[in-house]
Amino acid sequence: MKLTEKYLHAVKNRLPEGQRVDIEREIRSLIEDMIEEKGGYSLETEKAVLKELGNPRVLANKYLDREDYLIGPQFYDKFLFVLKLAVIVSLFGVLVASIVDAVSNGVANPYAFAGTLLGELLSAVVGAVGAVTLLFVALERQLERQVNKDFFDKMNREWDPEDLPDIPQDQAEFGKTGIIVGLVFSFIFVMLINYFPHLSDITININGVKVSAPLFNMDVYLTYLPYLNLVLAVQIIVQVYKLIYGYWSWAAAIFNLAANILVVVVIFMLMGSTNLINQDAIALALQNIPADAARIVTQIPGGVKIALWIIIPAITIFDSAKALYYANKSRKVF
Amino acid sequence: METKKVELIDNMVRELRRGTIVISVLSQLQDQAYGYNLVNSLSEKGFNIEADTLYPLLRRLENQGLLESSWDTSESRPRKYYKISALGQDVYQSLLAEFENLYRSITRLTGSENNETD
Repeated sequence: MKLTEKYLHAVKNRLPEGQRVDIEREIRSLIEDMIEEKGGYSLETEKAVLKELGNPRVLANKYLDREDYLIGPQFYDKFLFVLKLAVIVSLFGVLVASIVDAVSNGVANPYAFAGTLLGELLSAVVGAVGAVTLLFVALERQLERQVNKDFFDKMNREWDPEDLPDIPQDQAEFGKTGIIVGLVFSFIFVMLINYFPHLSDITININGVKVSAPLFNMDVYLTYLPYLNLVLAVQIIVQVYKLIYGYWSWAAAIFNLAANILVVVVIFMLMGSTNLINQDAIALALQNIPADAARIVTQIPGGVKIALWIIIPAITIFDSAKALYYANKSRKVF
Repeated sequence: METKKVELIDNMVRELRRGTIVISVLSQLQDQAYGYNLVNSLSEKGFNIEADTLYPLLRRLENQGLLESSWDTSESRPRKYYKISALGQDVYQSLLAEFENLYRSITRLTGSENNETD
C-alpha cells in the first residue's frame, strides 16, 4: 500500500493542520473499502482506485472548497491588460534609456553593451511580470473575502432599496486614457529610479574633454530609493483599482488620500534633504555659464522649492477632495 | 460539432444535478451510514456520485451542522458514520418542498410546450 500512503500524504499536505488526521483516516478507510470491493488488494487495483479518486491536489481543493487558480476570471482580462502595458513600457523604457546612455557616454565594447542590454531587458520584463502578478493575486484574495462578506451581509439583513447607489454619472472621471498615462508614467519612473539613476548625471564639455558628475549623492539617494518605490507602488495600486472598479468608493477614496499624503511626505523629505544634491554637479553645470547668468541660475532652486511647497500640497488636496466627493456621491463603502 | 454538443450537455447536466446532491445525500442519512456505503446506496437508487465529491461534501454538511458524525473503531477498519441532525432534518424538509415545487413548475412549463407542438 505504498502508493496509498503517498497519495494520503499528498492530500494531507494541502489541508489545514486541524483537519488532517480526520480526513486522512476517512480517505484511508475509503480506499480500503474500494480496493476490497474490486476483489481485494493487488497493485493494479490499488492503482485503479487511486486513479478513480483523482489528482490529490484536486481532492484536497474540494475539501478546502477553494478555486484552483491564482487570478480568477473576473480579473483576468484586466490582469493581461496591465501586464502587457507593464512589459511594453519596461522594455521600451530600458531600450530608450540604454540608447540615451550609450549616445551620451559612448560605447566602449559593443558586445558587452549588447549583453548588458539583454540582461537589463530580461530583468525588466521579469520584474514587471512579477510585480503585476503579485498585485493581482493580492487583489484576487482580497476580493474573494469581500465577495463572501457581501454575501453574508445580504443574508443577514433585509435588502432596502435605499441602499442602491447612485448611477455613476462621472464615469468619464475614470477615462481609460488617464489611467494608462498614469500607469505608463509610474512604470517609467520605477525603471528610471531603479535602473538608470545615472541618467541624471550632469556632463559638460570642457575643451573637448567630457566631464561628468552625478546629480545626486548616490549613498544618500539609495537611502531614499525604497520610499520612492513605495510611493510609485501605491500609485500603481490606485490606478489598477480605478481600472477595475471604475468608480470611487469610500475605501478607495480614503486609500487615495493616504497615497497622496505619502507622496507629499516623501517629496518633502527629498526636498528637505540637504545632501541629496551633489554640489559638484551644480558647480560643474555652472562652469560654462557666464557669471551673471550663474547668479540667476543659483536662485532658481530656491524659487522652485517654494513653488513646489505650494503646488504639490495643492494638487494632492484637490485630487483627494475630488475622490472623496465622488465617493460621497457613489455612496459605496467598497 | 458532435463532441461540442456532448460537452455542452454534460456541463448542463452537471449544473442541474449539483443542486440536487444535498437533497439526495440528506435523504439517505436518516439512519447513520459511512461514506462509501452512501456512494453505493445512492448509485443503487440511480443517483451516481463520485467518492471524491461526496466525502468533502459530507464534511462540509457536518461543518454547517446538518450532519452529525461519529467514528466506529470496533470493526477492523475504522469508519466515520454520518447521520442527519435536527437542523439537517429541517433543511432537508425545506429543500424537498422546494424541489417538488420546482418539479411541478417544470412539468407545467414543458407540458404546455408539448401541447403547442402537437
